[in-house]
Amino acid sequence: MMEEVFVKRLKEEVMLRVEKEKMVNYEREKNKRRHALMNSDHWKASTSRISNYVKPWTEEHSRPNRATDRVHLANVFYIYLGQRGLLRCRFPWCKDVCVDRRFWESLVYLDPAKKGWIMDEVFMPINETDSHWCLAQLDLQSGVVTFYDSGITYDPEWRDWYITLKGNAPLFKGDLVCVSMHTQYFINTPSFEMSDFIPIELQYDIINRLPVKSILAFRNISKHWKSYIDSSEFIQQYGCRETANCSFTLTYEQGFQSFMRMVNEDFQFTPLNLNLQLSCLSPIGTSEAQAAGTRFRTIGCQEKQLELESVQTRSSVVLSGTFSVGDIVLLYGWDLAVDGASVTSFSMLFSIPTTNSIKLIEFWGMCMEADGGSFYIGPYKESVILLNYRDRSLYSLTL
Amino acid sequence: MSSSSSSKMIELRSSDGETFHVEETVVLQSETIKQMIDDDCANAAIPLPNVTSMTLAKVIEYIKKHAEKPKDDDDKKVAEEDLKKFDAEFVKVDQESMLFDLVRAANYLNIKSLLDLTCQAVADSIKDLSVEEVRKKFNIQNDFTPEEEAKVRKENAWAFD
Repeated sequence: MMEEVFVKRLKEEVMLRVEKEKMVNYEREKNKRRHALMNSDHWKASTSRISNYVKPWTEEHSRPNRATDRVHLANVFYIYLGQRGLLRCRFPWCKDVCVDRRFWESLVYLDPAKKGWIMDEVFMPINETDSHWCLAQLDLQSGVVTFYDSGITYDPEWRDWYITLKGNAPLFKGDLVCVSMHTQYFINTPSFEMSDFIPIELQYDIINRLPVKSILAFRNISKHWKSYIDSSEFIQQYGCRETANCSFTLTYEQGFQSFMRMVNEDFQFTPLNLNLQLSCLSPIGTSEAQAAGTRFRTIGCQEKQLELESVQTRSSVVLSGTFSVGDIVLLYGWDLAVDGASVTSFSMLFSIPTTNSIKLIEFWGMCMEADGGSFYIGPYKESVILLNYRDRSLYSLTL
Repeated sequence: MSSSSSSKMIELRSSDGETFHVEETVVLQSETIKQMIDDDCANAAIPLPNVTSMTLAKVIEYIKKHAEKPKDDDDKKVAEEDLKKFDAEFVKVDQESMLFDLVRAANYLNIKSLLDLTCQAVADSIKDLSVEEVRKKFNIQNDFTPEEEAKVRKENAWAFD
């Protein structure tokens, strides 16, 4: 019985060995044929024909100071590396690969115990999505990037990956990498003197400290500055303050009763004599708004015309309207605290002189108690409104 | 400051190799160095590869001044006034690049009060400058096309009058 099993095993073993030998022989055959092909005149002729029209193209990205054992680093890079923590980063052209501190330290040769990667070459396979592979070879010592492409080459190059890679080439130049800690992305910026450089997040800090007028003028500085100033985070951070000096009356109806309040220069809400009839006033214009089951009607007095719109927040009703004085249009916002069905308080949020009439679409992140309310116009973003914290004035700009 | 004489001294090394000895209590104002000390990385000199000796000397002057503790309430008022004066004088630097260096150092060393002070000083110094001057100062490349720039200018035309 045991013997039978043993014999069976032996047979199996022999079978396997024979199979293996067959495979090895086959591989050897294949290699031999490949070598024969590569040595054949046919192969040589065809490859030389290909290389006639497919040439690797090279680009010069050599280091400015010709140093081969040292990387010239911008101060921002040191600041970046000086950060605590893991320093996880992604490259803009490759969103799925994450590198950490060791990568940067090796890359910039900061760790003398390890030789760094500076003497090496880097090969980067590039895939045009689902269609074609080619190769970029980066020689770290000379900074030369060479592209190998078996397909057609174009002059000028238009393919996306090429433009992206080329756009990021200064990264390899050692010349400048601007690290945006804010986004954890590398942003490619033109070269500048390192001594004058202030990292972008510090620039943001400085912007926050400027008066509104300067901020608006400085939207012109760069796309970075503009997008930051126009961002809702900025507006929220910057805060707002109330200002105004004009008076008008507010009337509203609850059920069948009418109420009228006088709003003074400080936008204090004072009840008017209830015996006074609406008809006693000769309004120039009226408009109505419906909010929290209460019907508001405003009546302008003097030459001021008022239109009200209501926008609702969580606990209070926010009304906004435009208001024209001569040629100037003013955008106003009021906050009405509604308790049950009656208005308990009324306060002015803002008034903004505008050249064209703008409309308040939404209040966002309201906090009345704190900075007098920070707000943002959205979601259609017709305008951005900046409210000055320091000189107590408000400005708007239409996008 | 007799009480602090017993305090541990911390050695800081600037980017150009100069070393500074500062009391631990003073240097703890820097969150970055505090973290290093907490992590037990501060047995030898702490290297500060992106702060030059000139900037570091200035920073140490600042944190030393701000580490002084008034003895009583009367003293406190005087000290506060004094500190305000000191801060105002502190940011009056001869070279503009020095101010920028201080901003960067404050950021790197994570000293919030110094960062506030220097950023505000930079903001004050640029608020009345033209767009072109600010670009030059921060070395910002104008990445708008002339058309885009004209458009932005038009949007805030009223800000320029």
